[in-house]
Parts: sequence; structure tokens; C-alpha cells
Amino acid sequence: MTDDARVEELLLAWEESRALGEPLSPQELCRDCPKLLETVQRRVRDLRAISSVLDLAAFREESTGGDASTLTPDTPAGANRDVSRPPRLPAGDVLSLSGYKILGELGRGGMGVVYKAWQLGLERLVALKVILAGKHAAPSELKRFYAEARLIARLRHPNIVQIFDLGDHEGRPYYAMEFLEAGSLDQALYQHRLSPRRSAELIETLARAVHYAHQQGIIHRDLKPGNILLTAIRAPAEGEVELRTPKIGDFGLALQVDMIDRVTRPGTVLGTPAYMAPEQAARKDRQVGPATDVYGLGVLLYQVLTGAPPFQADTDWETLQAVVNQQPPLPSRIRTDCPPALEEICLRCLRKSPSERYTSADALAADLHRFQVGEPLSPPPILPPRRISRRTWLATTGAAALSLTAGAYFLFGRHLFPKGTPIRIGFVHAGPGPLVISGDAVLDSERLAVWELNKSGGLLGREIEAVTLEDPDQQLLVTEQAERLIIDEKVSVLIGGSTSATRKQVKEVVEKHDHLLLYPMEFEGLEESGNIVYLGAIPNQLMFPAIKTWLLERQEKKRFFVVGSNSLLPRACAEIIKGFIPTLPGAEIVGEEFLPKGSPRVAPIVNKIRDAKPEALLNLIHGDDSLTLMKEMRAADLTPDRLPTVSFFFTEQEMRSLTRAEMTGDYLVSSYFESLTGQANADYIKLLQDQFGPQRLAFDDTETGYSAVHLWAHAVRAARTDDPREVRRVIGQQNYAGPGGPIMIDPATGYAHKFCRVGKIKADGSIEIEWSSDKPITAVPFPGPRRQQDWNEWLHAVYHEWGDHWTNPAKN
Amino acid sequence: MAEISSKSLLLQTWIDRLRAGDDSARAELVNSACERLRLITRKMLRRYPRVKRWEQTDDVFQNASLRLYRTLEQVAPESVRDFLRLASLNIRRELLDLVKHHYGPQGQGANYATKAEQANSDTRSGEGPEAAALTHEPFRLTAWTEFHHAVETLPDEEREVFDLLWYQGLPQAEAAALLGVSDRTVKRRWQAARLHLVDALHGQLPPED
Repeated sequence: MTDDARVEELLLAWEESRALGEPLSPQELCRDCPKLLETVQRRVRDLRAISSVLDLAAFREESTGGDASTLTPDTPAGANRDVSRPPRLPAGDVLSLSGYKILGELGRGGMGVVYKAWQLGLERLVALKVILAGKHAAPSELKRFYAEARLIARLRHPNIVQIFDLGDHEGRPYYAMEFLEAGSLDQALYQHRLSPRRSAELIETLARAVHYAHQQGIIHRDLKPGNILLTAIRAPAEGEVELRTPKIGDFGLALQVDMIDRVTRPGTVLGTPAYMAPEQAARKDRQVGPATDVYGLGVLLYQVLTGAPPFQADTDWETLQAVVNQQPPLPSRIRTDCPPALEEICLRCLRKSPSERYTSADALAADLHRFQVGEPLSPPPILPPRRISRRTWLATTGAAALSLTAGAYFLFGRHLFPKGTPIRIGFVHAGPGPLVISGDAVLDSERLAVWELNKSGGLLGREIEAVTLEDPDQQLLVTEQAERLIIDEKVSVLIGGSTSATRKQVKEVVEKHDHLLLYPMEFEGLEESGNIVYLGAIPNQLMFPAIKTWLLERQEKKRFFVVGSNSLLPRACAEIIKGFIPTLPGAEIVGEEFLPKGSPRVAPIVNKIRDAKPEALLNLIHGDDSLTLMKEMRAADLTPDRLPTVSFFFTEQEMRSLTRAEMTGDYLVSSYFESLTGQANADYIKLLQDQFGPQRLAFDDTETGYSAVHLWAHAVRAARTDDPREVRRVIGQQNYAGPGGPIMIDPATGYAHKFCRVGKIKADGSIEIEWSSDKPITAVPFPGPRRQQDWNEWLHAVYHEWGDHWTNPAKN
Repeated sequence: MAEISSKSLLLQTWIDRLRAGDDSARAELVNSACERLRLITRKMLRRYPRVKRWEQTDDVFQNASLRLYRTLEQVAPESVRDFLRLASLNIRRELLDLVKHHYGPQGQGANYATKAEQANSDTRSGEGPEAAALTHEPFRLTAWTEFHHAVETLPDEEREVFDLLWYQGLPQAEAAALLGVSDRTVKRRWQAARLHLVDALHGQLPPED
């Protein structure tokens, strides 16, 4: 055999091995003829190169819902797919463990392979995705994948592809989801073109679905046309093309898969470069959040309008560079009939900095709607805070600060800030983890106050710069990061602190550095610090008057049952109430129960409540666990007329974003309600909604955060310096008229005086204020009968019980 | 040898009908042969965001269909093989024309920039069109021109296999059956054809995305 013929045979062997998914290396091929190695290596390279030129697979349908008949997997180009592939399951094969009959292959991608399958038993068509990455994943990673995937599978929305089932097949995770007939948006866009109005309508629908998922704490991170599936395409001979019922597929799972995959392929950038947000392209993982999906929606809008994503270069690397550094070509350049308003919306989504985009997918949806009905768009976002993430810590002081400062001058005019360096406020709003969006509304409200101050000339002739601590999700890091804000970022004040557990950690830092923290959340009190100004209401300001004046004296309720979440704040408040109620003539506590967070077993508690025959229920439960309880109470016929419930930690925001039928007729207690009358409140709400959209709600924490910034600004002006020690000295003498009334600090304790207000929940979710204290109530941080020292001992015992942590290690 | 597959059988039925004077079969033939053209056009134009890709893809499809239709009016192919050779040739020519007339450096590509400029000056003032994108794309498409030309220079046997597998998207077994050769021979010719293309283009393949 001649050398040429031999090379030909070796290359054929290589192609065959590659088609089988396990390509032999040139070394393996040439083991017996090393002199041909160089030629074979070169020819293998050539074949690889031309195969990818000839590969048309990407131009076929690679979606989960594509039509199986359009795929011809054994065409030569199709056979040249990459190395590690899941086993090709023959049609008709039954995944015996999981009860699916494979009907055909719908597509394959980097992540895995998608089959059209019949689910036995339930007798329905499904798309079955078997994931490629799982094979080498560590058990802990897989466990995490399943945990996240189960959360995602709980999403129920008409525009999100439903996940039916999760499992594993021979060690590879798989999931079954809705099968959609009409394929993906990717395919549809090759054949059809949407009018600008239809484009806006489509993206609005998707944005609302994305917002729903964000509310559940889930971020998609991989929005692209291939992930949008359709039930039908209507393309009439006359008139506009319409894409029916778009649904978002693979919600959040893509990234989870990436996560387990990263174990086997460290250092790779995963995802589709042309559809990545700048923070993803730059691997700033800590910045990935809801705004990442807003960017993704912007890319979708761009592609629906123009036919292509904004950035596409010859190589992935160049594309990533463009995503990070270049401005997108204007859509109207590519499509001349693109209306300016729609272009504006699109470009606002595509801003490089997450904080300059729409603040939520919902805000984007609202603007898309305004475009469709011809209303003016929302005003552009306010000056964003400079975000710092742990990963980019050292790099931020240079270029980022420079560009932001330049932006600020551009917006407000250099002359407004004649006196050099900005004054910095550090905002500390810890989010408990990547799946949860928290504190955003409060932070937005605080940024709004900063923006207002800057607009009117800043403070002491200096600009105010907002610096945000990025997601200190590991509680240990809160101290470390507060410290960095003080030392490295040289902030003049810290505002925030989220939960009591977080505050207690930040407290140590501000005391150590003799600095200043303004804490704007409702809490249990039981604390004193010369370095903290406590702006949130505490039990003697809300619970005592609500129980004594309103429930006992006005409603004549005497028998109380206390129910709460099993974490620090509710436990401490219950303890305080237990000391207070026995001092009221005729009043008694007839029962007390704590439930772990997310506990579905509320029925026994409801039984206990009923058996104890209380006249009012004092609810100290956090968040939507309240709803679970209320639902069960209603089912047990414990209605507001028979047993009124007074909730202390359930905010207006939570109530409006959730089903509220269960709570209609019950009561909330707070020092602020959005429905308060008065010009200051009307101005505040208007400002908030102008900036963040009409859905944006004001509630107690947002109002207090907003007021905190203004109150601090008053103190800075009075002290003529931003030095924390000087500001602390004068802040007790300030009086700021906030949206909810005057804000004053008791110099003796550092606690704010607060109003107590009781509101009744109406069927439409709004609050009708039933009762309000005449004036702000002075805080009593350590209420009787326990003395301060007793309270400290009680706190210490709880801390010890929880393994020397301020968070309950049991699910709380 | 593999059996003649359903697609070939279908094509044969239409060819028979066409030869028997059934004109409607012509349209069927054209449609089935041009299916693959869409994919190839998409690939060639994928990086061309500044043209309205929908129209362009559809234009190419229309033109190629029309061209093949006219050819079939003049020549009635005798066999499926005959027909597919004809179809591939037409598709290739159409793709070459697409580049030449619409985007090539000597074609209307230059006009495109002018048009863009005019359109811009009508609607927006200030900035001009983005030159980088306009100059880069014709280069890329020129590479495709070279590629299609290179296919024409392949030895006949290899070109025919290349036509069937790539321009027509036939599975290898079906191509083998149609040509009356073994699967192995098809694989050999397919490999040789691709390596010849790399050589003919001196490694200058159309840029990948």
C-alpha cells in the first residue's frame, strides 16, 4: 500500500471513530507508522476545519421543540459533531427506569440531547432532555443540580415551558418538559419577520414571564431565540405574522448544568457568546442577576427587529470582546422602520452596566406596553450606585470609578460639584443567595434619595456616590465586606444591614472602627451601640400600642395567640410580648407556636389555635409562610370576623405580589403605609414610580431607607463635615419630614421615634388605615419586666442554642 | 448496496410524472431540491445583520427555484441522479450570483454602502454608516465564492458525491445507492473531495463563526 493510500485509510478510520463519538488521536492512528504522523495530523486538522465550514447543523433546528422530521442526523455534516456525546438512544427504546418511550431525536447541543418521547402512564408527548454534563460530576454537584432543578420545576406560568419530571438515566440527569409543536423562535425568525408592534408584544410577554421567575428568585441567564419555543405560527397571506404563545424553555437550568460542567471543564466560558450579557462575558459572576435577563430580553428584541444579535464576530473571543466593550449598532440603521421609542427600549436593555438597565423585567414590560399604546416611556434610570463585587474588588478603584464619575458630571454638570472628591455612602443589603432577590426595593429607594441630593447640588459642594456591597451571601463575609467599605472605599456612612443577624455582625465592625451605621429595618430592639442609629420600629413602638390601644381598648380582644417564624426577630418579639401582655388588665396569651420556614405542616398549628380559643392572632411570621397559615385557617373556618389576625412582619409589597384573598379582612401593623395621605408621601411615591415604573410599591422599609439617606444628609450639613463621628454627634438634633411623617432620633438611645399604624387589608390588596397613634412613639430598646442585663442573657442563650450563630441552624 | 430511499423514490416518481407531461411535478421537484439551499444561504449570510436577512434568504430561494424551474422546462432529466446533478449545478450558480450581484466588491455591494448612507442622511443626521461591517462582509462572501468555484473544479466523481451529500443533503447510504457504488466508496470520495477543497483554497476557507 502506498503512503497516500495508507493515509487515506487512516483518515477514514479517524472519521469513523469520530462519527461514533470517540475520535482516535493521530498518535493512536499512527502507532504502527510513525512516519505518517505529521501528514495525518495535518489532514485531520484540514478535515476538522472544512467540516465546520460544511456543518449546517446550526442552521437547522436545534431547539427542544423542533420538528423531528426536519433533522437528518446521519448526513455527513451532521455526523461530525463533537467528541463526547450521550448514547444515541434508538427510536422505540424505553428508558425502563423512568417510563418514557423515545420517539426520535429533536436535537443536540453542548448541553445534551433532546428526544421527542412518549411518557408512559401519563400518556403524553414530552421533550426529554438528557444532560451530557452529568457523567463526570461530583455527587455533591449533582445533588445541588437536582435541588435547584426542583425549584425551577415549580415555576408555573403560561409562558414558561413546564418541567414535568426530573431524574437520572445511567448517571446522567434528565428532565421531561412540555413538547411544543411549532419549534423555536430561532427557526421562526429565519422565515418570518415581525412588525415592530408585534415584536414589542412578543418581548413584553416574555419579559412578564421572566419577571415572574425573578419573583420566585430564579434567573434564566441564557435567554436566546433557541430557548424560546412556540405553540403556533400564524403567517397570513395578508397582514402581520404572529408567533403564538411563546414559552421560555430551560429556565435557569442552563446555568445549573454549566455549574456541574465546570467541574470537568474548568476555566471555560460557557454559554453562547452572542447572547451573553457583558457581566457574563467578563466572567463577573457576582454581578449576574435579574439585570442579566433584562439584557437577554434586549438581545431578543434586537434580533427580532433586525434579524441578528447585536454582536457577532468571527471568533467567540472577538464576540465576547465586543459584548464587553462595543456599543451595539443602532437597530434603526439595520431596519429603517424601527420606531425610535422601541429602539430606546432596546438600547436601555443593552447597557453595559447592569444597574443602568431597566431595574426589572417588569419595568421593561411596562415600557414595551407603553410603546404599544403610544404612551411616553418611563424616564431613564437614575444614577446607579457603583457596585463592587468581591471578584473585582481590586480593579474597581481605577477605570470603573473614573467612568462613573465622568457619567455623573455628564448628567449633572461639572459646576454642580465644585469641591473635588465625592462623599461616599456604603449600602449594605445582604442577599441570602443567588436565587433570591432581596433588598432591591429598599436599595432602589435609597439610591433615589442619593439621586435627589445630587440633583440639588450634592452635599457640601461634593457629589454623593453610592457604593453597594455585592451579595454578601455568606454571612461570615458581611463583616469582612463592611470593613472593606470603611477602609478601602472610605465611605462616610453605612446604611442598611438587612436582617438582625447581619446587623449584629456589622455592629462589631462599626464599633471597631468607630464608624456609623444607619439601620432602616423593623427589628426587635434589645441592642445599644453608640455607632448605630436605629431607624426601624421596635416592639414597644408597634406591638405594644397595637395590642393595648387598638386590640384591647378599642376592639375588646383579650385572649391572644402568638405565632411566628423560628428566627431571631420573631423569637425576640414574642419574648417581649410575653412580658408585656400580662401587665394589661384582663389580657392573656393563650398559646404560642413557631414554625420553620417553608414548613408545609401548618395544620397542627391551626388545630392548636382553634382549641385555644383566642380572640386575636398575633402573627410574627415572615413572608409567604403567612399565606400558607392563612389558607389553612380559612379552610378551618377561622375567618377575620371570628378571629382577626394582626401581622407585624408581612409587608405591603409581599402582600401585593402574592395572592391576597387569604388575607383580606385581616390587619397589618406598620409605621408606614403607602396609602398615607399628605404631600410628602405623594411626592415620594410619584418619584419612586416615575423612576421604577407604576408597579413599584412603597412600603415601610423603602420609606425608612429613603428617609435614612435624607436624615444623614441633614446631619452632614449641620456638622459641615461627613466625618462619621461628627455626623453621629449631631444626628440626634435633626428633624427630617419624611414621607411617613417627621423623623427624629432620641439622642439618649439612638433609636428613632416611630408612628404605630394599623391597616386593614382590602380585597384589592390595598390597605385602609384603621388606626394611627397621635404622635411618634419613643423607643424603649429593652422593655420590661426584664432588665437590659436579663435581655442580654436571653440573647446570649439563643445565640448559644443556635451553635454560636445569629441564624437558627434548623431550617428557619 | 443500500436500497433506494424514500426521497430518491419520490424524486423518481416526480421525474416520471414530469416526463409523462405532468407540469405540476416540476414544482415539486424544484421544492425538494431547494430545501437544502435555505440552510446554505443562511450559513453564508448569517453574519450579515445589516441586510434584511429574511428577504435576502427568500430572494435567493426564489431565484434559485425559478432558475431550476426554467432549466427543467427546457431539459427533462432522465434519472434522479441526472436531476440532482442539474439541481446542484443551479444552486451553486445561484449562490455564486448571489455574491456577485448583491454583495461582491464589484457588484451592488458598493451601492449598498451608498444606499445606506442615503437612507441615513434621510432619517438621521450626524454619523455615517459603519464601514467596518460593510467591508468585512463582502470579504467573507468572496471566500464563499471561491469555495463554490473550487467545488466546480473537483474531479467528476468527487464533485458528484459532494453535490449529493452537501448541496442536496442526501445521507451517505442513499448517495451510494443512487450512484451504484458501495458506502465505503462514497466515504472515500467524500473525504477526498473535502481534502481537495482545502488544497484548492490553499487553506483559505470561508470564515467560521
